[in-house]
Parts: sequence; structure tokens; C-alpha cells
Amino acid sequence: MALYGMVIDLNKCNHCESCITACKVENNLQIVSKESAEMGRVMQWMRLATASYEGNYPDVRPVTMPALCLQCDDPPCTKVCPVRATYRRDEDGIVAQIYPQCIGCRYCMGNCPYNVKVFNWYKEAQPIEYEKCYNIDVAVRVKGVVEKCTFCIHRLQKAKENAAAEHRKVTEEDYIPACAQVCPAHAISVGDLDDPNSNVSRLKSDYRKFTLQEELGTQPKVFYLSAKSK
Amino acid sequence: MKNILSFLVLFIISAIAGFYFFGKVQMPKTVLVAVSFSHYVHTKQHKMECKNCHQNINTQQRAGIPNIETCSLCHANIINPQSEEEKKIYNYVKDNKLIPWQNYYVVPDYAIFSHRRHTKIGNLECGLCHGDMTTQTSPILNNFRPFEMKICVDCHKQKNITTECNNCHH
Amino acid sequence: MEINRRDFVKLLGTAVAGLAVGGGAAAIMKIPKSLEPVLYSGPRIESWKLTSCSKCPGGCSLRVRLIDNFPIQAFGNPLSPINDGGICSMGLTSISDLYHPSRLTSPLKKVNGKFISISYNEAYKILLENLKNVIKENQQDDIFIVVQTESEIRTDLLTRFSNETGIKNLIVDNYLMNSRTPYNNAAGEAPDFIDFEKCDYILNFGAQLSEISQSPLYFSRTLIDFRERGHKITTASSKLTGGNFKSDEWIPIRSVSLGDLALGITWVLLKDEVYDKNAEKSVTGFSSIKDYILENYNPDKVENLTGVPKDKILETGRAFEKAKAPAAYFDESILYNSSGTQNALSIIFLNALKGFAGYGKVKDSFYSSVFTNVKSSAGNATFNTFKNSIASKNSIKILMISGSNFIFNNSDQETLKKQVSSIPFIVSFSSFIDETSTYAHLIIPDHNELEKLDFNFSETIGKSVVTVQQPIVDPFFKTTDTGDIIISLMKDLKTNSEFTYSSVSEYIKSIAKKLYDNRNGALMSQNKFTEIEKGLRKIGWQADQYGSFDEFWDSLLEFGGWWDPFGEKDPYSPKINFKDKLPYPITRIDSMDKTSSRNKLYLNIFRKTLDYKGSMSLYPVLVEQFGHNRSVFYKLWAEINPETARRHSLSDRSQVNIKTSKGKFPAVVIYNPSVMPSTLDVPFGLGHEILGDKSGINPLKFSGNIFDTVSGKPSFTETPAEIESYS
Repeated sequence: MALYGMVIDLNKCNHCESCITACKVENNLQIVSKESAEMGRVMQWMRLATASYEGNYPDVRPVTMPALCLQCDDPPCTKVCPVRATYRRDEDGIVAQIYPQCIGCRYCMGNCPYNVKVFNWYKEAQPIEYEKCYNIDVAVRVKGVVEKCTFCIHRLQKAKENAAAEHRKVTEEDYIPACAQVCPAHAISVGDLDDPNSNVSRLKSDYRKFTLQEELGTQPKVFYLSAKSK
Repeated sequence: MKNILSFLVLFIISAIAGFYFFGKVQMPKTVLVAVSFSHYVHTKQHKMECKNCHQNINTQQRAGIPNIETCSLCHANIINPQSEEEKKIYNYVKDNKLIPWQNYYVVPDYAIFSHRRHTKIGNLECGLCHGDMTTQTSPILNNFRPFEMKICVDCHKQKNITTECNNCHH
Repeated sequence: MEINRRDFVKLLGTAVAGLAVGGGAAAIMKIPKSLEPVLYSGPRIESWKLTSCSKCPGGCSLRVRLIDNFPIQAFGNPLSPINDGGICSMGLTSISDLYHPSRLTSPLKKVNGKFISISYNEAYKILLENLKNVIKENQQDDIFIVVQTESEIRTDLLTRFSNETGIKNLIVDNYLMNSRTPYNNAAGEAPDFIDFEKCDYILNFGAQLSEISQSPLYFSRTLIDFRERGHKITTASSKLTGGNFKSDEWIPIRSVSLGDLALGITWVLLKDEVYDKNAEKSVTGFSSIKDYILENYNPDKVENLTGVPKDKILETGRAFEKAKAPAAYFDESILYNSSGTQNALSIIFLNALKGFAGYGKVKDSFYSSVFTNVKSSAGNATFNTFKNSIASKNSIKILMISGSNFIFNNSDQETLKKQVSSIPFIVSFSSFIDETSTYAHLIIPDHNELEKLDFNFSETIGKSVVTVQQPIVDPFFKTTDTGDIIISLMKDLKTNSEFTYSSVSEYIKSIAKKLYDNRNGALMSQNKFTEIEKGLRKIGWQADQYGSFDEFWDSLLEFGGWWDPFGEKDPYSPKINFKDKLPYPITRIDSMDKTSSRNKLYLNIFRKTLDYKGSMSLYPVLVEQFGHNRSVFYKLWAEINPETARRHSLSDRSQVNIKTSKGKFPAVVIYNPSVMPSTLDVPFGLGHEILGDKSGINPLKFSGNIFDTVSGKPSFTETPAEIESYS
């Protein structure tokens, strides 16, 4: 069974924000109204979060990293959903979200320690030039459901379908999420952690690896690589 | 007894009134039929198969309704049309106009249904879901099988295919 | 019928319950409209086509996904040597302006202050009449053409047009022309690329290499590799933007004194006598320049002028000396202050001392073989010429605008608007009505980038690359390609014109014929070439086989580009003659106090990658994303150093009014420890009044009337400001 994880190399990332735009455009995210944006309800599945600044002037550098759903192996959000609208798939380790099942109670949003779940408060009218460029493989969410990054699972389903039609297995070149595909510095890699020959397995054993809030026991599958010395 | 009966009648009348007042019943949609296409003529008389015209069944997610590119492969050579419908088709073919077919049912946005998975990979017969089309003499106006998730899940369980939610809802 | 109260209540309750049950059932069964599929009800057949992006001079190659022949998404082409599969935010959202509701659908003419729609033939006749009338009186100097497109072919057509008709006032305002003009004036030609194989130290003067440059995606990749090999990058700028976080060192300095810093470092090299001795021969007047610098720019004086500690100047100078092939890099952004061109000349002299070792030129460049006259004679006029012409008695009679929104991108907008509205005939070729084209009397909208045929020439990687931009869809509306209009005008205005092609696509095919004859290159069908292939190339083997020219043309459109993978390079070693503009200032324009003073505040405008030309408001995704890093949406923010903020008693995320000599505007104060003290960093890009999303404020409207004396570019960094807090 495959286990999909991600490694982001922060020494290569140069904060161009292409991954965030790509995620928004690929998954038909909603553009909220200006009043909602002021209340902090902008919908982003992937954010470029500045944690802090380190160093003394003029050697100050921000500590910034792309923050997305860490696809935990022991997810706190799935344990509290009353209707099983979010669950961890055994066959590929992705924490999935079922929009028609969700009742909008937002219990999972409160339980997530990384604040990566986003809620559709209202259904705003979208600009028509954005609507015409919707991705047809992804459902447009209705008002009142919770959504989050799904490692572009629609691309995985398509890759599996293509592989089954050609009687072969899914390889590394078939499936790549949108953020990893567009990064100009090739800083994001997604692959099968169970496969010892894949890129992510090799990068995961790098000495620079760390992950967020490991002490909570959520076993996230997104790893960051960062060397402190410049 | 009389009281209970009158209560019951009132209940039923108000239920029906509420039904119509607060929402419309799902009536079969009336579609404008451009050409009265007869499956019987094309399959039994001219011995064609489903995939001769519906060319995207085994390769795409949506099969689609074939349009002027497919029809004109044969109908462009029929220069003196006999019946009313053939004359209508000939008008479309000679101007290379798109025939305005209307879908009486479209798969809703929250579910993904892929034809290719069912026909090519699953090796299912067309008639299992669409019925015997060789007897139809006019365009279809309602579903052969009602579109509920229960029908899909029952067939999946019977044939031992995965019923993971995210395979169809993503 | 007699009913008592109890029965009545029971009846009422039942009726309501029945209604509720019936209505509730209906509500569950009714499917809301938003759940029906949003898009096409056709067979949804997917296809892919290759084209090139034209939002910046990079020339990245795109793969566009089409559903039922409508383009919906764009991704990078993994076989392109420039972007290698990556794509930036502007390219990702560039598809949506094909469907924008404000897009102009036909030529427009202004009648009584309103635009009415006319046919192309009528519009062309009006334009031709006006041009003929002015040219007949030999008043070609009263016609101005402003163009800001990155397309080399359209710029070349306009240059030919201006040569043939005698209209000398052609302002070419694009990135490459602005970056290269200082080099063109001092050395006759500019370097083509930074030679990363040889270069081992980059001293960056104010440029944002991986955000706004000749090819941002290429620099994003190669600078990582550059640093992994152990080489260093030092940035001297007034704001540490996202792309420069990876520099090894940041020297905070005001943009206006970048030239003084360069002269200080030059002093170190001249004093230690560690410089390339060939410079003494290749630079005209070397010894007098050397004496002047040694006398006037020692580190103490430079510290007074710039505020940079003298240890830092000595350290940087020694690092520059030690490197074998350093590159002191600047680009168009250096022009945006009052001594911009002067600073560029100082940096050129610094480079000359090390023989321009970090730069290179492409040998047998394909671009030079096609456009032999573009580089030298295009763009003689500047915005200063424009303003002087209006200010003096001879006023401008015709203004032609192609792809430029200069009223939005400039400061002193009130005067500019008055000057532009006094021109009797303005024609614009833009596809939208924006701040500049709203003054036009005639608009002939151009095709969208996805409907045009074009070639993008790029030499940033050190080899000739041609990326093909092909029409993905047939034109949606009644728009016309600007190149075709210019060609028709050339033929109608001059009887025996030297330009023999009748349309742009013919001209482009003739250039493709030159590619077909050039047997050195390969189509973009492979990204990496092995050493074996390189050896085979030397004995005459070719990567692609094609028969006739038509087969080649089809393959070129299928693969999306052509490049020369084994191209060689020449060193860049020009003869430098500064003429009357010496690399040090003779008279100083002291418009601001250059060292950091404790109580004054200055406005410092910076550009982000998402928008450097000022057209971001067309893309709603980019406008929303503009401030997400600071959690400020649709509003202007000002970044300030925490110590400066405490001195002026401002708290984090408070709303303030910033007051300049032109008025006041609201902003949100954000603490950022990496900002220079006594500056307020405000981003540029928001605040459109006519085009697209109208949120935010344009800081250039409130910036002072300070311009670069040579190029006329507005200063971004020298406006004094004050703060008034909200109560």
C-alpha cells in the first residue's frame, strides 16, 4: 500500500508564492468578499506563514515556510467528526474530506493543532473570468462545509485510472500535486514513503529534517528541510 | 372516528399543499428535441454498435452525445433524404451546424462518474445501466435506472469493488 | 359548524404539522442551482497546447490545458531550458483575461466624452488621416509613440515604422531597454547574461533577481546552485524583499546613494591597485577618473554620504578584489531615484575595473542576426523629452500608446493627466480601458496574448533561445493585431517601403526560415543533452530531422520553441567612453538626507513579484493574495522598523494616516525588523481607479515630484512623510 508524503526544502524556497496560487487555481477555491477578508476568512489551503524573525539588524531574516495540511498518520481531526466526513484512507495515507457528508459543525477545525482547515462561511458570487477557468475535475464546495488540502487527490484518481487502463502500476511520474508541479526551484517533492527508491524517502533521511509540533503525537507526513547556517 | 378521519384528511391536504407551496416536484424535464433520433433504425436496421457513434465511451469520463462530426460521416453521402428526420439531418450536415442536443440529466458537480472506469476497466455491458436501446424509436426523456447513490453502492458491493467515498466525491 | 377551542387548536396544529412535513420533504428533494455542474455540457475532451508567456521578459514556455477547445489552465513546460517546468503566479492566472468582462470587443471612438463602437476600417481611416496631416507639414517631431511591450518583434516593427516615417520620438519603456540603456550609452552594447559558470561573486545593487528580472524563474533555480557551490551574494538595497532573503549579506542603503557605494568600493580597488590593467586602455579618460575618485571617495567620506560603515565598505571591496570573476549587477530598478542613471554609470566603471569578468555575450546570437538595427537605434526618447515637449511652446499633436499604462506607473499624476488631456489626438492599442487609455480619442484593441503569433527571444541562459507563442484560440471578438496595423500604416505612409511583408505572420515565418537554415540548434524536444550528443554535434549530427520548411514549422509549433544547446559564449569586453556623463556626479542633487536621521521618515515604495508593471487588478486571485503574508487584504500597508515605530509611538497593526506633500492616505502599520530605520515601506500595485479591482491606494499618487534626470523615471524612495494616527 502506498503512503504519500511531502518534503519541502526551505533552503531552496525563495518565497515566490507560486505554490499558493497554483493550489487556489487548481482546486477552485472561493474568492471571498472584502468584508469577509477583513474578518480573516480568506480561503487558502496553503499559506506562506512567517513564524518569526531571527538575527539582529541588518542580518535579520524571516523564518517563513509554506503551511498546508500535514496529512497526519494519527489525525486529531478525524477522531471528532460526528458523521465521518473526514477520514484517513488506508490505501494511500491521505486524509480525505467528503463534502456532501459534512454537516458544518466545525469540530474538526477546532481540533486541528495546525489550523489548516478552512470553512465556507458564505457562498459569494465569483468573478466570471475566474469561474470560466474552473478545474472540471474538482467539485465546487457549497456553503457550510469544511475543506482542506487533499494532496490533489483528483490527480491521484486520474493516475490510477490511466494506470489501470494500461495494465500497469502507478509510478512517480504519473501523480504530482499542483504545488509540487509549479515550484520553480523544485523545492517541493511528493512521493511514496513506502518505496525506498523514491525521492521523498531519500530526502526524509536528510540530517536537516524537522516537522511541526512533533510532541503532540500526530505523526505528520510533511517534512521540512532547513539548515540553520547560511 | 369522524374526528380522526377529518384530522387525517386535513393532514394529507396540508401536506400536499406544503409540498407544492414550498418546492416543486421533480417532474421529468421537457427538452426540446431537435431531431427525433431513432436508436432502433440505426442499431437493428443498419446493424451499428454503441461504440460506432459514441466514440468516447472507452476513453473519456463523459461519453457525450455525438454531434455533427460523427453524423456527417454517413449522412453527408445521403444526398436525397427520404424521411422527415433525414431531411432535418441533411440541413444540419450541409451547413456543418452543431445539432442543439440538450442533456435531460447531467451528473451533479459533487460526484465524479467516469465512463472509462466502468466500460473499459470494469468490462460492463452498456445495457446494464442504459437498458435495451435497440427498441427505442425516439430520443430518451428519462433515466432507465433512477440516479441514487444506493444503486451505485449496491452494484459495487455485489461485484466487490471498493466503496471508498473519496473515489467518487472529490 | 360549531367548534370549541380545543378542537380548533388541534386542527391548527395538524395543519401546521402537515405543512411542515410537506414543505420539509420538498426542501430536501429540491437540488439547489449551485450543485448543477458549472461548466460545459459537452463531451469535455481535454487537449494540450504549447505557447509562451509574455507577462515579463523571461520567455517561459507554457503548456495550456484546453477543455472542448476552451483554455482553462496553464502549467510550465518541463522541456524548456528557461523555466524547467516551473511557472510563476502571473503565468498561472494569465488565462483569465481572455474571459474578462471588461475586455474591449471592437474599436472605439470618443464622441462627446463617451466611447462608441465603430468598425475597423473606419478606425484605420481616422488614424491614417491624422498621421498624414501631420507628416505633410513636416511636423514629425510633434508625434510621440510610447510602447511598453516585451515582444521584440512588435518593438522592431515600431522601430522600422519610426525610421521610415521620420517619427523620432519613440519611447520604448520595457524592462530590457531600460536595463540596457546605461550600457548602450557608455559602451555601445550591453552584456547578454551573467556567466554562472565563471562568476564567483555577485554584488547586487538593488535588483530583485528572482522576482523581477530578465528571467525570474531561471534565476530562482541557478542562484540555489550558485550558493551551493560556495559562492556569495551581497545585496545592497533599500528593502530586503523576498527574493533577496537568500543573500549572504544585506547592506541597507538608500537607493539614491547606490552610486556612492559603488564609488567607495572602486576607491578600495584603485587604492590597492588590484584591478584589471586592461581597463586603463579600454576606458577613455581612465587616469583622470581614477584621480578624481581617489581624491573624493575615501571610506570616511562615503560613510558620511551613504550611512554604510566604512568597515563594511572595505570588507566588500576586498571581497570584490579577491573574486576572480565578480559581477556588480544592476537592472531597471536602479533608475527609480533622482540619480539613477548616474548610479548605473558608477557601477559600470566598477565592473570595468575587473574586466566585466562575470558577464558574457552569446556567440553567433540568433537575436542579433535577425534584428541588426533594433538594439542601437530604438528608444531614443524618454519621458523627459515628452514632458519638455509639452512644457515648451511646441505642443504634441499625436500620441500613440501601445501596452503602456504610464499614468498609473508615474508620480506627479495630476500634471501628467493635464498634459495628456491637452493633446488633440491620442490613439491607444490596449485591450482594456485603463487610466491612460481613458484619455484616448480612438482605441483599436489588440488581440489577447493567447490569440497572437509571436516569437520570444531570450539569451539569459547564455545560449540563444526562441520560444514560440502560438494562437491557442481563434479571436473571440473584433480585435486586431497591432503589428498588422503598423505594417499597413508603413505601406500607406511611405510609397516604397523597405518592409516587404504584408502581415506579421509572414514576417514571423521569414524569421522561422532563418531558424530552419541555422543547423546549429534543436527544437525543445529534449532538456538535457549528454556529452556523447555534444561530440556528435561537432561532427555534424543534428538532434531533430525534418524535411521541408512546412514540416519544420509544424514541429516548431508542436514543441513550442527552439534553442542552441551547445552554443558558445564570448567574453564581454567593450570599449567604454563615458563622454559627457562621467561615472561620478559633478553636481550633487541633495534632495534628501542620505544618512539615517532619527526623526525624519521617508516613504519607500517597493515592488513585489506579483505585479511589477501595475496591471495586477485584472486578476482577482492575485489581488487577494497580494498581502496574505502580512494578513492584510485589499488594503495598503506600511512596514516599519519596531524601534522607529516605538519612537513615533505607533503600535503594531494600527491604522494611521500617512501625510506627504501631495495629500494623505490611510495605511496599516506592520512591524518588520528587517526594514531600514526611518523608512515606511509601502507596496506598489494596488489602487487602480478604472481597471479591474479598485481596492487599495496607489502610493505613487502621493509621492513627490522627483525624477531621474536622464530617463525620467519617478523616484520611489525620496519622499518625506509624516504620520497622523487615527484617534
